[in-house]
Amino acid sequence: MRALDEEAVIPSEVEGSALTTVKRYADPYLTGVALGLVLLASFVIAGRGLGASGAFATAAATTVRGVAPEVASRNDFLATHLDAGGLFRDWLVVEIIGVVIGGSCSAALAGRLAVRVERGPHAAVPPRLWAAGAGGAIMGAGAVLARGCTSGQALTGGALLSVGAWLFIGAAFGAAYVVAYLTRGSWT
Amino acid sequence: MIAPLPLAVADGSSLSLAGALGIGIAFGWCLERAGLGSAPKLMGQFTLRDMTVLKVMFSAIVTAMLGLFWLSWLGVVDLARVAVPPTFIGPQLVGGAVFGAGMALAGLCPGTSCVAAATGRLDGLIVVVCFFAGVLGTGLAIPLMASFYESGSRGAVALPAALGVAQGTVTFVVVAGALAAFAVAGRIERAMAARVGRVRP
Amino acid sequence: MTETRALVRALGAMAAVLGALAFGVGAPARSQGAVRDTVVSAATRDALDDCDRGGCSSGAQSISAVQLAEWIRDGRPGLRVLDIRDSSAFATRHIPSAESVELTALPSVAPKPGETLVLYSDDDLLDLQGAAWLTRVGHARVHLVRGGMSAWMTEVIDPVVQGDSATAIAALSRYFGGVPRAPSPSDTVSGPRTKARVRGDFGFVTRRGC
Repeated sequence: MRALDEEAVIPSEVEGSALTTVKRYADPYLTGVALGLVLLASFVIAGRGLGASGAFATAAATTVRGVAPEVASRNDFLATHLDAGGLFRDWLVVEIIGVVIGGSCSAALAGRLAVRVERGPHAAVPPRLWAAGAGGAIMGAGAVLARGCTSGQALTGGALLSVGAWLFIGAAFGAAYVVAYLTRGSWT
Repeated sequence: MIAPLPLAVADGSSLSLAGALGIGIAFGWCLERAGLGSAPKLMGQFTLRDMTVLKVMFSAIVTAMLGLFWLSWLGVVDLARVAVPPTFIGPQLVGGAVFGAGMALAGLCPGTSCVAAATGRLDGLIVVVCFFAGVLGTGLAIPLMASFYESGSRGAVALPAALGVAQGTVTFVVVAGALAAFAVAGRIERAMAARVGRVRP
Repeated sequence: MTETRALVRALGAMAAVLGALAFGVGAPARSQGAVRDTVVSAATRDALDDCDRGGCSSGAQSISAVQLAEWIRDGRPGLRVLDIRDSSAFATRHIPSAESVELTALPSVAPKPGETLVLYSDDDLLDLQGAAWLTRVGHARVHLVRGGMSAWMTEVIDPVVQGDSATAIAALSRYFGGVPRAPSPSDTVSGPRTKARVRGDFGFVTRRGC
């Protein structure tokens, strides 16, 4: 597997605008196939695919239930994300914990752990963080409406050929290209 | 005779959650290995300089899709027992667009933001926290848009049924489309690299 | 670097081949569904007219959705589940292992020894009619699902489980991709929570989220 990690140099960020050489990332096709096998394993073992936003939804619902239980149970969206067994018995919540572990382990082994703010070569930190916050919140709204995100709808739903998932893929990628073009200064 | 997969394991049981953890670890590992935990690299897709997102995503979709098809054909997997997310046409189109716009602003998606945060990226952490806030806020507001939220419901419908074609046909089209996209992606990367004057292997 | 390239190309070729084969095969299942003969013979039609004139009683026993779920899971020999709703309802969702048979085509379903037929739809009267016809043309064991497709959804796919049978029903539910719930205090008020469950009852909608 080590040979497959020999790949491209990674883009610039951090202080100054010099290109920084970091440990190379793995080949995208091979990593994609590996990810597909993980997704397949999930289907086959657990009868369901991957996800991310659902874990956040369950966390949100659990929070609301803790503060105002009637609000949670009367709300269609929140009620459907409540688990009788509690937050840490939810499949997606445990899965996301795994994502955090797996991501940090991979980075640690590749020497890519670093506390920093990643941004485009000509972007400053404050605007980057504001955009990250605004973008995150907007994504939250989109994920609630669409019942998922790129992991749950695009990846999982895509592999399952779900109609709504493919609509999501088209809409999400389309909108992303438009906004990326409008904000192209931030990343290039 | 081995019972058809997926296994009938109780939801919320320790075995099921152990599976979730293992699958999640592998998921996070793959995302970080591909570099998708890095916002500038991810956004390279949407500035047409780095097609990693497309390559990873469609390789994964094709792999899992073909795997399911053939495992089902072999009788190993019972497709009826694999949960397909339900379709809600309006909300998924609008939600998708809103999501995509947010993703381009944030530079990360929910899953990759977790990876970014896990590897020390402060921007990733901000995305995680604000994504939670967005989900919470929108979730609380759902009763105000209940009719739209539930509109366009088609159930757990898949493309073959919706288009009236065989699953194998749709599978083939997706594979062919992905391979064609990969061919084009390579060309775009090289063209953009030449234009920008930077060498990107 | 070149081994990576070669491996990627090999995988791409494999995908192309598997995709092309999928196109050729069509359905991800080796045995294609049974071909049903829906021609109603004159004799059968006569027998049925008797029924319609108020002649026969159904003689069919109704069973619960849970009971049917157990039969399907345990592979009860000779079990045939017949969905007598229209084909678009069937395509949207149906009980696993069910066959779509239009109500009027029921009389032409030939009786075979050892078979147990289970009928379901969204309409109790249709069920009774169908069961009556089937019994009339000689089927020995015909059952109806009490509550039809809705009962399947509320008792098997989205059940509220409590009491002694909770674990068993929960396991049964999960076998079919359902999400059993424990009752919560808010369950006593049948409000949006219940509404959401029924409204979402298409296909294998499980409350799993993404």
